[in-house]
Amino acid sequence: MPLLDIRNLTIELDTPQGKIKAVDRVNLSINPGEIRGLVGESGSGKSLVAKAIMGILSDRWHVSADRLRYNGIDLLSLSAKERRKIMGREIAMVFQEPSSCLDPNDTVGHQLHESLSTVDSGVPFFQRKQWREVRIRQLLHKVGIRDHQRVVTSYPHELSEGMCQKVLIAMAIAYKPRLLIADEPTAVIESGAQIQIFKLFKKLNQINDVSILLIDHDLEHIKNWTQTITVMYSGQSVESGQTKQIFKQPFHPYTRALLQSMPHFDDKLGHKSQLNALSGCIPTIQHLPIGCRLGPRCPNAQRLCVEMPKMQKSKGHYFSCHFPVSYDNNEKNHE
Amino acid sequence: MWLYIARRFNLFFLTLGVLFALVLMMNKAMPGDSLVKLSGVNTPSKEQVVELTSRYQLDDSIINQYIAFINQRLSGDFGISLSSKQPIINEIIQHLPATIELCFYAMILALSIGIPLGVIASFKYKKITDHAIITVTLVGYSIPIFCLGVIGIMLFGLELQWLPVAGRINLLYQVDMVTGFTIIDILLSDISYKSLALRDAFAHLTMPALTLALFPITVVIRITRHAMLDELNTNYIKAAEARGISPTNIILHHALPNAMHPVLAQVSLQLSTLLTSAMVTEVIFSWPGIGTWLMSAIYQRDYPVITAGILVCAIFLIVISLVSDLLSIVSTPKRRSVRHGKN
Ligand SMILES: Nc1ncnc2c1ncn2[C@@H]1O[C@H](COP(=O)(O)OP(=O)(O)OP(=O)(O)O)[C@@H](O)[C@H]1O
Ligand code: SF4
Ligand SMILES: [Mg+2]
Repeated sequence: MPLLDIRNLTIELDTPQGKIKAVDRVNLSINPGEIRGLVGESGSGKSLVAKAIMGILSDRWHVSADRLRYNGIDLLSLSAKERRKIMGREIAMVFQEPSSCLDPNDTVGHQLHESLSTVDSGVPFFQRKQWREVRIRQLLHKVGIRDHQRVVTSYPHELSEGMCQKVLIAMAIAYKPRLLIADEPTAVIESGAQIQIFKLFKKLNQINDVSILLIDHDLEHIKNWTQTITVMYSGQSVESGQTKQIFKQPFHPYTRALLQSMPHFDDKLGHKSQLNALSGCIPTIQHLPIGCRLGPRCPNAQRLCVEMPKMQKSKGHYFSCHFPVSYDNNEKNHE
Repeated sequence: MWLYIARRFNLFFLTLGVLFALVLMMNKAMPGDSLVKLSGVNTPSKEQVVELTSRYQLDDSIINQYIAFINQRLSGDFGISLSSKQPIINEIIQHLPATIELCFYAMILALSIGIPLGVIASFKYKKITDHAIITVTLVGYSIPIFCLGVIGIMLFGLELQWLPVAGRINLLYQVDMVTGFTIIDILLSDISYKSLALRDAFAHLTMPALTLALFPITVVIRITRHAMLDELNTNYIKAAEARGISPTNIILHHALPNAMHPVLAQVSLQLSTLLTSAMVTEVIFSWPGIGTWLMSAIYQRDYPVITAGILVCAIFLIVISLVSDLLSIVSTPKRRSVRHGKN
C-alpha cells in the first residue's frame, strides 16, 4: 500500500471572478521508503500540491480529491486537530522562501525548542530543556551549521537565506517524520552544502525508512537522488514513472523539452528527433488553453490535441499525451 | 537604530517648533491686544506694560517674538487666566491629571476588551462569532459619544441610581491632592475610610471611562482583527502549523506579538480622537479635566487659557506619539538592528 496516495487532486482558488482551478486532477503516490521527485516549470502548482498535503492552504483555496490518503487515512475527512497530530509527528515539510517561514519576532533557538517540544516523550520534565538543547546542537550539526551558538541566539533577519533554510531542514527532520516533503530544499544553499543535505536525506531514507517528496528545479538533483518522478505542467501531472526510465525515454513532449534543457542531456542520449526548447511560457491559470494545456507550445500538437488527453499507462510509466514522443516506434499509437 | 531615534527626535523638535509658530499666529489672530492675550493681564499698569513688552519682545521682529514666546512657555509661564486671575500653569496642573486619568482607563479598557475580541474574531474568521463581533462593533462605532453619555446618565444615574453622574469623587471624602490622580492620591493618603473612598472614586470613573472607551474599543477590535488576519496568512504561521504547533501557541506566541506592532501604531494615531472625545465626555459628566476647563474658557473668551490648553493638548499628543514610536522600535528585533530604521 502506498504511504501517500493521491488521486485526482484538484485545488481551486476563490477569486472575485469565480473559482479558478490552479491544480487539476493531479495523481501522485509515494511508497514507503521511496524518494519521488516532483518537477515542473515555475507556477505549475508544485508548492500548492505540497501545501494541500499538509493542509495549510488558506481558506481562499478549495481542495478536493477522489483520494488523499496518508497511510490509509483519508486526510480530507480528518478534523483539524487530528490532522495536526499527523503533521507534527508523521509528515514534515521544508518550505520555499525559508526566511519568511521563521517568526521575525522570535529567536531561532526558541523556535527550534518549540518544534522539539512535541516529541520529547520519555524524558523527565526537569531534564527536557537540556535534552532539547543537546538535540538542537546535533540537528544543526547534521544540516551543516557549525556555529550553532550564534544561530540559536539570532533573529531570522540576522541569518542568511541559506542558513534559514538549513534551520528549517533541521526543524523538519527533528520529528523523525515518515514522510518528508522538501520544496526546493537547496535552492538557496551553496552548492557544496547541497550535496551534504541530499546525503542527509538519503541517509534518512535508507536508515529510518523516510519517504521523501523532493520538489526541485535542478534536474541533476532529481536524476541523482530520486527513484521515481512526477512531471507537472500547468497544474496537471503529465508524466510519471521510474526516474531512470523517464530520463532515458520520456514520452511526453513537455518532459522531453524539460530534459533537453539540461546540459549534456543530448550527448548521453544521442539524437532521435530534433526538438527545440519550447517557446513561450506557462499559461496563467486564468487563461488556460482548451484541450491539452501544452497545446500552443507543443511541437507535436495536432488537431486531436484540442481534446484533453487521458492518462495512459505503459509498463508502470504513466503519461497523458495523444502523440507521445519516442513512443510510436515501440507500440501502436491510438488515433 | 540610533540614527533613526536621532531622526525621530529631530522630527519631534521640528513639530514642536511648528506647533509654537501656529499657536502664536493663532493668538495674534484673535481679537484684542497682543499683550493681554499673551500674558492674560487684563488691565496692565504702566510698569507692567513695559515689563511684559520686553518679556515677550513685542517691539521686536516676529522672529524674536517667536523665540521669546517659546522661552516663556517652556519655562512654565503661560500667563494668567483672564477670568480667574490665577497663573494658568497651576490650573493646568490641576486639570490635566484628571484628563490623563480618564484617557488612561479608557485606553486600558479599549485594549483589554478590544484585543481579545479582535483575536477571537480573526480566529473565527467568517464564522458566526466573527460576524456577531463585527456587527456589534459597527453599532458601537456609529453611536455618537454625547448620545451614549446622556443615555448612560439617564439610565444608570437617574433611573436606576446605580452610578453617580458627575465629578471624580464625592465631596464627602477629603483627599489631599498629591499627584492629581484620584486613585493614587487615595492610596497615598492616610485617611481611615480608604476603601470607601476608593469604591466611590471607581463608581465615579465607571461611566465616563466606559463611555469614552466605547469608540476606541471598536477601533481596536477592527485593527486587531485585520492585523491578525494578515498575520495568520503569513508563511511563518503556515510553517508553524505544518510543524504541528498548537493553535493556541501559534496565536499567543507568534501571531499576536507580530500583530501587536501595527495595532499599537494605529492606536497611537487614534489618540488624538480619544483626546477630543475625552473633552466631550468631560463636559457631559462634569469631569474636572482639561476639556471642561477649556470649554468654559471658550465661553468666557479667555484667550490665554485657550491657547495654553491647545498647546498642552498638542504637546501631550506629540510626546505620546514619540514614545509609542520609540517603544515600537525597541520591541521589533528587525528594526532594532537596521541602521536607518527603514521598514
Ligand atoms: N496566494 C496566491 N494567490 C493567487 N494565486 C496563487 C497564489 N499562490 C499560488 N498561486 C498560483 O498558483 C499557481 C501555482 O503556484 P505554485 O506556488 O504551486 O507554483 P510552483 O510550481 O511551486 O512554482 P515555483 O517553482 O516557482 O515554486 C501559480 O500559477 C500561481 O500564480
Ligand atoms: S496531447 Fe498534443 S499538445 Fe498535448 S502534449 Fe501531446 S502532442 Fe502535445
Ligand atoms: Mg513552489
